[in-house]
This record gives sequence, C-alpha cells and structure tokens, in this order.
Amino acid sequence: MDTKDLWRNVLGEIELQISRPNFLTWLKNSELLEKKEKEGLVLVSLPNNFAKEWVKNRYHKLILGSLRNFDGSIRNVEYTVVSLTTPRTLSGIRTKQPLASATLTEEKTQLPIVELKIDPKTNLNPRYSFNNFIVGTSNELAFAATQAVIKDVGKKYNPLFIYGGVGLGKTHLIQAAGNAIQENYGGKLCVLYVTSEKFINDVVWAVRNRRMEDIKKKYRDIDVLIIDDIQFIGGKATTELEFFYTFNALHENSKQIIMSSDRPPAAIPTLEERLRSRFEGGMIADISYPDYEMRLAILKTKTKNQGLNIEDKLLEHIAAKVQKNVRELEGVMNKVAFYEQYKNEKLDIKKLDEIINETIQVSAKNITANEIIKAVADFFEVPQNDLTERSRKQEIVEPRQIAMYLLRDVLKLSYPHIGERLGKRDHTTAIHAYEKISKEATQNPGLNQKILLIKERVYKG
Amino acid sequence: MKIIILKKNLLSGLNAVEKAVGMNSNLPVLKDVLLKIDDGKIQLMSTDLELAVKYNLVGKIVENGEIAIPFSVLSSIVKNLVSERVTLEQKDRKLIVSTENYEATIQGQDAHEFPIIPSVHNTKQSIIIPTEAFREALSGVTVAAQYSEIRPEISGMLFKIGDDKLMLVATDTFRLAEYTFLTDRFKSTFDSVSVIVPLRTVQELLRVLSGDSGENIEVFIDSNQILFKTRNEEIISRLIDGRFPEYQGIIPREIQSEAIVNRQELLGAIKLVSSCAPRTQDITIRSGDNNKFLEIYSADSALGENNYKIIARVKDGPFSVVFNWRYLLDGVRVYHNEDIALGVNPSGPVTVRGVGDSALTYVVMPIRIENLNKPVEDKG
Repeated sequence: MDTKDLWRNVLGEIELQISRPNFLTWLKNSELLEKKEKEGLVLVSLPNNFAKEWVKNRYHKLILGSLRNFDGSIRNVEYTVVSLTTPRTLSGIRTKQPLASATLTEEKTQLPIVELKIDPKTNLNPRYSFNNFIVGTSNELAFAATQAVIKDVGKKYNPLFIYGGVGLGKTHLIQAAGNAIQENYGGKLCVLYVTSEKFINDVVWAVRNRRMEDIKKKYRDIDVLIIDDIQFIGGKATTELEFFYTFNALHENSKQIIMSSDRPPAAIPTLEERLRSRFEGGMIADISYPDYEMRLAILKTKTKNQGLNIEDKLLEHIAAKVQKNVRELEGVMNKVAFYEQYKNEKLDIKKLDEIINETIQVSAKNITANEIIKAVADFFEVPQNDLTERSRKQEIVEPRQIAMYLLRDVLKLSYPHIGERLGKRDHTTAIHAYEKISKEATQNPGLNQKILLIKERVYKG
Repeated sequence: MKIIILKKNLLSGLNAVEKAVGMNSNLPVLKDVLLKIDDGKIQLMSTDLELAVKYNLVGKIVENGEIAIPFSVLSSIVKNLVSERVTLEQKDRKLIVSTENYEATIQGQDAHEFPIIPSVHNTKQSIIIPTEAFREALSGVTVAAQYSEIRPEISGMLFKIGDDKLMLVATDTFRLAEYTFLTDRFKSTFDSVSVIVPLRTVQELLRVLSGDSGENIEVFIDSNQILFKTRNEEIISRLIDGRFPEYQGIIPREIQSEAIVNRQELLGAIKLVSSCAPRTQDITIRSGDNNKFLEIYSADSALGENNYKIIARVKDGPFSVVFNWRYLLDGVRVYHNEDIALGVNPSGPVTVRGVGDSALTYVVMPIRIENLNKPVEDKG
C-alpha cells in the first residue's frame, strides 16, 4: 500500500468517528508527506497552524491508532504546516476598486509598474520571448547558439557569451532564453537572471554584513545563471573573485552560464586574465547592426503587436534613417504612434525627420574635430601630428581613414574640410575613406568594435 | 466561572475580537468567542483559523473557568444593556448574564470544542515599535495594497528587516508605498527577516491599534506565523507563503523634475478637477510658465473641462504628466506634512513625498508622461 492509499484509508476511518464539520475543517486538506521506515515515523501535512495544534492535541491518538491498523510498523506521527498554493477567498476584504463600469476602461489605460510583472524567483521579465525576437543575418549566430543551449542546457555551449552594441537585443535574447528554459523544462531547472550591477551590489552587501554564505548559496544553487552586461564587473576585485568562484562551481557541475556584454572578453580592459580565458572557453557569438530589411521587419512586427497603424512609407523611412540601434528605432516608432494617436496629426516625411533628429541626436553635442582626432590617435597610439600632417607611413593609413570616417559620421563635416584637416588631402580621399570604412564596418566586426570604442572615448570626453 | 465586569470594558473587548470571529465556516464553534478566566486574567478570544485575536479584559474575578459563547448573541445583549455593572456566570454549558434588573441565559459550548490558538514558539527574538508610529506607518502603506486572488504574494504587506532598517511595503502593481523605520525608532533582535502579512491582518491591526496609544507594540515571528502583542491584545496571524517582488528598483533614485506644493491645496485641487475627469480617470498635472505654479486639468468630451492653478515651486521643469486621479489622491492623502513634493522621471514612476519627513515614500505609475525638459536618454 503506498502512502496515498494508506492516508485515504485512515481518513475514511476517522471520518466515521468525528463530526462532519470537524472533519472538513481540520483534516480535509491534509496529506501524508512521507514515511520513514527506519524510525516508524509518519509525517503528515496540515493546511494551517490551527489545524496542526488541534490535530496534535485532539486527534493524535485516533490517527495513530488508525494508521497502526493498516501498518503495524508505524510507531509515531509528526505534523507540519504546508500552506496551500491558492489561498481561500478571504471574507471581509473590501476591494478598493471604484465604480464597476470604470474599471474596464481604467485597466486599459493605467500602466502597471512593469518591474512587478517580473518573476521574483527568476528575475526574468515575461515580456521578452522568442515570439517577438526577430532573427536576421546580424544575429542569427547568436540566436542559433542560444537555441542550442536551450535544447541542451549546460552541456553544449557553456558558457555562452553574447556581445554586441547598445540596443541591439542582447538583453532580449538572453532573457528569452531564460524564459524558454523555464517553459521547456516546466520549472524543473532553476533559472536566475541578474544584471552585473545587481551581482556587484549583492557582493558589496555580503562583504559589509559578513554574509558571504548567503551569496554563495543564492548563486550556486541554480541550474542556469544569466548575467547581463558582464563587462561592468571588470576592475572590481572582490566581485571578480566571487564571480570566478561562482563560475567555477557552476561550470564544474555542468550548470549553464549565459552572459552578455557590449564587447568581446578580449576587449574588456580591466578583466582579469583567468576570467577572460574562462569566458572564451565556451561559445562566443556577436550581434551586429541589423540591415535595412531586418530593421523594417522589426518595425512591422512591433507595429502589429502593439496594434499601431503607421503607414508603410513612414516605416520604410524610419528603417532607412535609424541604422545603429534597435531601441532608437522603437523610440522613433513610439513617438510617431504618439503623434498619430493623441495629437491626431498626419505626419509627412519632413516632420518625421524632425522626430528622428530629436530622438537620436542626443549625444552629438559639444564634440569638436580635435577631440575626435585626439581620440583616434590615442587609441592607435600614434602621434597626433602624423594624422594631421602629410605623413604617408603605412601604420597611419587605417587610423587616418577611421578619423575621416568619424569626422563625417559624427560631425557631418564637409569632405574638403576633412581632407584639409587630415594631411591636406583631396576631398576625394576623404570620400573614399568614409565609404570604405562604412562598408567594412558592417562586414568586419573587429573594425566595428574599434570604431565603437573610439566613439565611447569621444563621448566620455 | 464567575466575573463582575463594567459594561464598557466588556464591550471594548467584544469590539476588539469581532473581526476575527469566523462567520463563513463549516465549524459552528468558530462563531463563538471563548471566555477564559485563569491565572488572574480574563481573556476573550476569537478566530477564523487565519487570524486569532486575544483580548485581556479588566474586571473582578470571583471564580476561574472557561466557556465558548456565540458572539452575536453576547454582543447584542451587551450593547443594549443599560446598567454599568454586569455579572457573567457559568452553569455547565450555559452563561448567565445578569444585572440588578436583567438576566439572560445563553446556550454556550464546552471550551474544549474551541480551537487551540497556536502559540509563536520563537519568543526569544522580537521587534519593538512605538504603537503610534507603527499605526501611522501601517495606515500610510495600506493605501497601496489591494487583495489579489491571482497574486497572493502582493495581497499583503512586506515586513522586512535588514541593514538596520525596518521597512513596510505594499503594492497593487499600479502604485507602491514604502515606510522606513531607522534604528532610532524601533528595537529588534532579528538581524534580518522578511515576511508577508496578509492584508486582512493589517486592516485588523489598524482597527485595534486606533484605540491604543502611547505604548509599544511587540512583534514575534515564527516560520509561518506572526504575533502582534500590545498590553491588552494579541493578534496572531498566518503569513503569506511567497516571495515579495524585488521592488527597490522601482523607487526612482534620482528625480529629474520636482514640484513642491501645499498638500491641502493639491488635495482640494485633485478633488475639484476630477469632477470633469473622463471614465479613464485621467487628470493632467503640468508645470506652468516660469515655474511658479502647477496647472491641474481634466477634460471629457461629454462632461466638459476644467483647469485649476495652484502655487508651487518647480525645479527643472517643465513637465506634464497624466495620472489616474484616484491613485494620485490616495498618495497625497496619506501624508500629514504641510508640503509635499512630486518627483517626475522619464523612466516612469512618479514619487510623492512629504517635505521634511522621508519615512514614507509613495510611488505611482502615471498613465503617461507627455513632455519633459530633456529628451529621454538612452541607457545601455
């Protein structure tokens, strides 16, 4: 006889001996949790403390006697409280909802605080899923690697390291992976998503309160660890060390680790060597800029999902103009939707250009040509003079072309002026350099990375 | 069992235990209160198996004993009694209520039938808070709470101790309220604790505490229950099993634009202007020119429109935010400060804080933010 049948029989007997209200109140939601053969001990769960006290004091003899009728090896019973997952409806709670008619429309317009939709156990936001992730040439490698990881958690590509520029969908991809793992394995695997900032904060807290064991327990008792923006832990010694231990503990037990960063491990300057080599030991996949078709596909999917109605002509224009950042793409689209919905304005291309400019031109202020040239020179460690004078040294060629590209791209200087500035060249040289670098940047991730890093220096000043 | 007691005292005891009497239960004895005289104490107890209340009555004890009596009968008799002194005497399973010229015999039940109220075993550790401050915190935080069948973990109030602070938090996902006690305002022998107390228990506590003042309340916590103890009462409740959402990130750390206004004026303005609010409940608050006043505006095509200007000090404006006025009103109402500050952020939640007192923070999600001084900056 298994424990379930045993308990059902016992309840059947007891039901005959006590009154029905008593039975319903105290024993209805009870369960026989386990039987310890060695000690002859049976563990019974009850829905609340009242039931526990009552049953222990009033029905213990009855239950023990009945259990022994069915199974002579039982010598004792212990009780524990297990809360029901769905609570009973509480009486006496007055709901604060205003008028019944008002609630329907209210729910549509009032935005909830999004953070509260996040699953507190995994930290994952259900908004991110593969249903609304658009795959194109720029991210298909990262996507495929993620799919492989979901299929074979912890075995195939471990760790999985995803990198790419700002607003290209890294967070979306890794959170969607977490959500998919949750779903596919029916919650059997314990997934935890944290930003590296949260991890750092946890470590700082633990150091201050001498509670390192808590951190160790929190981060090591999981099956899938997802860390966003891992580059930020570089240079924080204790955090790096703690992460190193966590990483090893998880990796040795073939638990999956997924990380995202804005650059490859080799390009995180302050990262310790031992962590870098570990990051590189699994699979590294990049997400680069989406091409025109993909940008348009993203816009169309978004408009459809949000039930917006924006003309195709406008969408095409946005896709053509906003090239480097999916988030900005969405930002522009939202603004357009806002104009059409709330202001009832019909937009033309000219107005659209204005919106695009005010959305994506935020950071281009106060940057001078000199700053850009200096940043390029510093980055490649060549003298600034070599760039601006008529030097024809081989090692100067690439830096100078990049500088030309940046002057055009960031400051929109005229080609003759750029040529004049950098080595007294003809304007055709500048045009050639700009076109060459723009083309290569889309194909060569290494070059793209260099440009991003230089831009970062320029903006940080 | 026999006691002599003042009607006033008996009535306050009955009022205290009233809400915990189980009205919709399979078990008839839950509709009773237990009257127990033992060890020099007169105790009234009631429970619905989620919550239990014990109240110590003041009176003259003649003889010890205990009996369970239907609450509704006893309560309606005591409420309508004229005399001041009441004698309660037990005869087998009956309770005799008598004054000089009145006598009633109430059919009771054996005290043995009454549920055993579980005790909190961890009595070594406790939290001690001044009742007055605790009540203020509870009433401030409950405005943001709402019972939810789908999400039990937010159908209650989070009690959290950590980093030498005690925090009470509640949210209904549209707004959130947090009250912080710093070390000088409470004593605790817990290093860290985090439990969710059912909303109903909180409401009951508020009701019971409004009578008490000037004393401390002591809180004991077990793995699945919590005990609140004042001089006269004990409230024992189950805890909600679950994890409260990670909420710290919701409270904006930096504020982009701020407006400081007189609380009463804003309160009046919201009530007045809401009369033209559409069914979506939205009203707009925007900063006026030269940052000297706030405009509060609502319009509905069927009802009409209205606009109200109140004096304010605006920092880093202009802004224009659309709120559900009920949620905003709740947030403004809970404060006692003379002035309050509205903090507007591009990222979403708007903070409402009392000027000069930072214990309570109310955060409300606006319906939308229409325009801010700076373009929304993109963060990696």
